Amino acid sequence: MAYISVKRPKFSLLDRLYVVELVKGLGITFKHLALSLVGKSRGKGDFSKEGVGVCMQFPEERWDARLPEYYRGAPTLVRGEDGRERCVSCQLCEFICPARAIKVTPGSVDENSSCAKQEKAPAEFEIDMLRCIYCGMCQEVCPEQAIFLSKEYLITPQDRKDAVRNKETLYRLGGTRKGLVNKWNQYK
Amino acid sequence: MTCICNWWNDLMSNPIWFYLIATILKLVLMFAVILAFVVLSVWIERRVAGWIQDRPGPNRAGLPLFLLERFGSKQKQPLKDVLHFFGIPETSWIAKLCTWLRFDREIPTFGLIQPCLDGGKLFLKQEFTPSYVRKAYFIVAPMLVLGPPMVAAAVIPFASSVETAYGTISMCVANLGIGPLWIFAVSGLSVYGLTLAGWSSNSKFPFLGGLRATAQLISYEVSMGLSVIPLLMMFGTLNLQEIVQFQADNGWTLLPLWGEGLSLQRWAMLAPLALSFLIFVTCVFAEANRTPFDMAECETDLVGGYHTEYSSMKFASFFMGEYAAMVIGSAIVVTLFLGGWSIGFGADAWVAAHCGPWWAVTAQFCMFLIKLLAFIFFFVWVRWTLPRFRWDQVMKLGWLVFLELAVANIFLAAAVMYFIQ
Amino acid sequence: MFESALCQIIFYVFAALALLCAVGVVAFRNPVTSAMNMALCFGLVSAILFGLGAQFLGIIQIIIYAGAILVLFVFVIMMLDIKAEEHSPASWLPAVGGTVVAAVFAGMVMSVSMNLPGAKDGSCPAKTLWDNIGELSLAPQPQQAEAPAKVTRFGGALPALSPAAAAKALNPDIAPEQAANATTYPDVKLVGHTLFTQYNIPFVILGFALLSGSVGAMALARKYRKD
Repeated sequence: MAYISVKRPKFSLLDRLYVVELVKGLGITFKHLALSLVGKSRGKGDFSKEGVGVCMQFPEERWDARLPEYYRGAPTLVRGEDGRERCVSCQLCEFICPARAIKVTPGSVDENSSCAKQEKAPAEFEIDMLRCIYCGMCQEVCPEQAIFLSKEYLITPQDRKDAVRNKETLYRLGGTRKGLVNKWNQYK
Repeated sequence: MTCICNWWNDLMSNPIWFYLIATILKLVLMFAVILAFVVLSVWIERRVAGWIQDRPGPNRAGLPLFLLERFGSKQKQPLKDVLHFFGIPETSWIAKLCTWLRFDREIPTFGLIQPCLDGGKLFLKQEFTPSYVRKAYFIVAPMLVLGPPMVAAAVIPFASSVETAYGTISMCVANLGIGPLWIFAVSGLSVYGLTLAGWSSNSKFPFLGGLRATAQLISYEVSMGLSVIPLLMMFGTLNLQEIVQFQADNGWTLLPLWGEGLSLQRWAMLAPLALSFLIFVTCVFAEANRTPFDMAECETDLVGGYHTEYSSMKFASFFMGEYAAMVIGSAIVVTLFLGGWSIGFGADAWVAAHCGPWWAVTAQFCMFLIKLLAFIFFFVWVRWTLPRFRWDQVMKLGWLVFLELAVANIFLAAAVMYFIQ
Repeated sequence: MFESALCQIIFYVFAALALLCAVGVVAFRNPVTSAMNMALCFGLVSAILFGLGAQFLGIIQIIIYAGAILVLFVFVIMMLDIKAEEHSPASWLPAVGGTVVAAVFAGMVMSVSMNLPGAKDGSCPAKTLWDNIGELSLAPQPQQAEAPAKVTRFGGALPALSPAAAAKALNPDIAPEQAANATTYPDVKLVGHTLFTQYNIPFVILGFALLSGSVGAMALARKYRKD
């Protein structure tokens, strides 16, 4: 590997006196300050309708529309297109979760279901939103593609019990997904 | 009624009681001003930082109107009701202005109470003391940081004196004959707080922060003391009240536009005085541990510096101490260089002659506060302009540049005073 | 009198606390605690000086000793191994040596103060000194010359510095009436005046001694490198 020697810039005496450059720097910051105060700051109108600068005034203005496809919000459970729960309670997400936010209680599927002897389903599935760090490892590890990170970012529980989401809530938030894994009928 | 009046008259006629009561009143005023300015300067810091970086800064923390509902009010939309009451249509510009000022949602404070709420939050947080610290010093250190700036404020004059029926009140808590020295000495003591905090934390980075604070303070205190000598040569006194009176009569140190200030000598003195100002202000920055000289707590190389191990109210004490030091630093710069409480252009004497002494004192007090605010703004402005110096650069600047400049400046000032009469 | 009694009480309280801290400097095993005691002691001594009206000396005491020298001490002490220091066995030899040095210093101070004018009369020497100057400045007024002005802020035990005497010392040509009218006590001017007139040459020599000391320290501390 070749070394590239970079020469330090030579400073003139005026530069080294520092005072002139200091005044120039103060001028630049003051320009920004003045422009902000009259509402003409850089980035004005980019995000915000009111206020100054590049900041979004949060509760009034939200960035929901600007969220990218890959945004990692709250994890949710999804159902397949046939309406069955995709989760087979293999507990891989529970093991991989670095924050130990997930707690799966395995159970069996309904006796009357067509796949009663074939698969399992979680009896209870809890995610503690106070522990979740939105890393997305559960989504990545899931062999059945049953857990997805949604775009939900406003999670404000009133107390600690509220923060734990149960299976019902998770399925409600997740909804239905099409395609991807087709359990037991890959030859369809 | 007359009984109380007589009693009060008797009490105030006793010089000791008069002195005590006047001093306590001044103390309370000064203390309130300092504490209010600590809060205010935190707000200024955050707002100005925001504006400089093209963002609004803390602009909320209003009192939300849903609190009214909680206390039993039935009205959902107080603003609408008020507008209806005055017969103002909801589309008029007044209504729009009110909406813009957020009157429909809250009683706006523009973020002014944000620092108070932050303080409240810190007060309620868990007080965590690591098991390996040296307890006694760990607890004492925050007090040693917060205390000295408050004590140093005692000699700063915030208005001229008033003749009352019982005696003269000098608007300065302690009218010592050694004003600037008192401030240097007492504010220099706050370094014990930083050093002890760093040492008692018993951990590497705080310790390095403490050592840096010590070395920096010693280095810059020397140039700070030397840089004010040209001023003292001009004023011929160390009493801050007299120094400000001199500036009120003969032009501020850096603005000699009236009185004796129009002489050739004063204008020639501007060169050494401007140099003094430069050195002194830089040293005040260094003493107050502000950027670009916040070596003791620089996050990039020392985690959090001397207060890494502190939490909750102890951390808040450090925080307040830093801002109190900034307020005191601004006050001393304003007093020595920018005319202190003097309104300028001979207006002090005019107000005193035409409106009475109490009005003069009030006007001077307001003037002092305005100047203080302006200089605090300058502090903040510099902080968000300059990056932090490297540690060896700080030492080099202190010992190799400022010390020599300050000594040479004394000779320059002496030459000006001797040759230009 | 209420005022003088109060001042006396304050003086003795501060003096007692200062002595206590001075003992603490020696008694504590932890060097940082010793240093902090010393800082406190300096502060208390300067409080005594403030009480006596010598504000300049008091504040110089804080700036130089508490604010600069002791901070350097603390700077060095903190880098020591405190645990080893705390558990090292006490040895008698340094204690005896220290006592001898302290005794020599105490003897010096005693001999100086005993040779001050009026010391052997059993009254306070400093008071006699100041009264003498006061007498000099007020000499032409016969009724006052007989009974020298006793501006006693600390009662009889300690001297107060009379503004008249200070004015006389600063400006020997001043008229006695004017000197008697002086109210403030310009101790900064007085110290400067004394230092730069009466003791000018020793002062300059001392400055050179300090300069050579600091240059010598630099020469010793600096590493010479061949390259």
